[in-house]
Amino acid sequence: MATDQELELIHDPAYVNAVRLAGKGKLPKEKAGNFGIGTEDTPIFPGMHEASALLVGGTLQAVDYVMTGKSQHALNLGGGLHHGFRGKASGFCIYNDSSVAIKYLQEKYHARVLYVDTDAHHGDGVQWSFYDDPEVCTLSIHETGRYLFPGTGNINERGQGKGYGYSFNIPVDAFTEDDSWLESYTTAFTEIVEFFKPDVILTQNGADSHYFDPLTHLSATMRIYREIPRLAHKLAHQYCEGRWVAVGGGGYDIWRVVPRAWSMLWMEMSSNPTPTGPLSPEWLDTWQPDSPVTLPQSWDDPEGIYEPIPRRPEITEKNTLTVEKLLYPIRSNQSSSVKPT
Amino acid sequence: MAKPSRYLPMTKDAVFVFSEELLTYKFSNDHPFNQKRLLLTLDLLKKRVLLLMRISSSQEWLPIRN
Amino acid sequence: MIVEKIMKKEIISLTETDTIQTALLLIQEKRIRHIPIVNHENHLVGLISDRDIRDASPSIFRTEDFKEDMQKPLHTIMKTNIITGHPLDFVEEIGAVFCENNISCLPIIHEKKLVGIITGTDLLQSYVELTGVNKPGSQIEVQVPDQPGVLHNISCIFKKRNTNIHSVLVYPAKETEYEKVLVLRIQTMNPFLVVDDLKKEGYKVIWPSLPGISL
Repeated sequence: MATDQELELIHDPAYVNAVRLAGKGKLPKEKAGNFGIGTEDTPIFPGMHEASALLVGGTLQAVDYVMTGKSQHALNLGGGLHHGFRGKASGFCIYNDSSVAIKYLQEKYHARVLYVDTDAHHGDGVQWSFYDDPEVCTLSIHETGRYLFPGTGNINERGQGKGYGYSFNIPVDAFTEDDSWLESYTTAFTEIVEFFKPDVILTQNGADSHYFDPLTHLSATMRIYREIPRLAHKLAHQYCEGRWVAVGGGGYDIWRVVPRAWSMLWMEMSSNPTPTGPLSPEWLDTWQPDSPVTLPQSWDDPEGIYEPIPRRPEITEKNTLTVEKLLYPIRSNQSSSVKPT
Repeated sequence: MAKPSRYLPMTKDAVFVFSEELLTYKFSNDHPFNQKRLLLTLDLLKKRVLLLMRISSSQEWLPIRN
Repeated sequence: MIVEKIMKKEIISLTETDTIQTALLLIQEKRIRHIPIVNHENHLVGLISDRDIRDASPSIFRTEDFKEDMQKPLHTIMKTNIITGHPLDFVEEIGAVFCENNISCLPIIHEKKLVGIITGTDLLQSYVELTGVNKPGSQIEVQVPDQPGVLHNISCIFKKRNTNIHSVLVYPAKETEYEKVLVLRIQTMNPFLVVDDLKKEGYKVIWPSLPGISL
């Protein structure tokens, strides 16, 4: 479990205290509101401090394993709670394990961190934590915030002060499909890692961009969950001697999407071939009785799980232009010598 | 509190951090954020591994300790 | 909202005897586009924009030829007769002043002294805040009858869910004059609960709606 001292690398002591009190049923309702807890999104529950600190501890443990060389990569699927703010819970997130882990990486290991967030929602908490810090580079690819929570993550949010130019956002259009999503992700990640040359890569692997996800409006399939970790794995070896920490995140179709997506992530990370073909019949037999929906029968989605998207060419074009605009500053600087050491 | 997370070295390349206590991060029964997905994932991996082991005995994989 | 609430109070200014060169460097360093010119009593005597400086600068093909021009004092190029505002002006009205006069910067004067400055960017920022997008939330759009009490009824539905509303915008529906569209930004990642409530009460929810419908 993360200590208070570790949590307070990012979070206000008053907030940590409030969460602890809330978890014991001792925080007055009117005070809870100021800290973003006791809402429909982030209700108070017994032991909420311990549960939240535990998952932060898991991410810090993953970091330690990678940074001390005990392991090349490490995964904490219980982490990835990227909406947590310094003094406020938001969007189902209480403590922000990724923000804490990045600060921890800086203080303990003096590492330059590239944070890559593929959750369908903008990674706002992490972005704002390091918005003015040129030693941390954040990349978030998400459904446009025009309607979707949290509303931020626009392309023009590039950082401020010394951190200007180290915050990258790709707001893809609603209904974006695999090809366009993957093209955006691959292009941006590949060029940004070359620009930033991190010591370690931290990926947030929310699994809510899938067509089935009930809270978002993208039209991706399992294909992206096969490719997302593959590229992260390759780039971690290419730029960071393998140092790669991965955490979970969103993912609200817990039956049809998340188990397959996160299994793919682990199989890739542990250098196993990512699985194809039918899902384990034992698994299906075990869980189908509990599931409100029919479980998928294979690792990949069959063709035609959704109706064709009417405006596909326009959506694809718009996403391509977004990525071009996003990368313009680092592409135009490639000839000059602004690259950080 | 006891040591919270157990790491599970499954191959020398990667560690999988997990503890059943991660499932205590639970707002309510009908809240969309539901860490039961961790169990579903682990179980899928375990059963997948069994499948793999049958195919190839050279897979380095330690069973998950509960 | 009044101007005082959104104006910048730390003003970067120069005097009319400073050189064009100084202004050029300042504009580049501070990434600003306007510099108010004041006298020793902090009274506004002029304004220069990046465009004024560019007009005075030699062509990029002649940078070596007219170097002495850049040493001329600012009063040779600054605009006088400046449109100004007051701290108690309304931001909404200031917006109209910007449009009518085609300007992008308004010095704010109080008791003859320069006390603030507002740029087009500041106005846009306050518009952004008006829409609530600077706080984490989801946006929903509901088409409602244009009659008294509707907003009250709708807000009760949000209250029941303990969902905070960041902002509400109202605009006329395109296809009928008897309805309006409410654009609400609400503090939740899961708008579907309240959307269901709204639908149950018979309201027409335009967004979020089923995928496949174009935005």
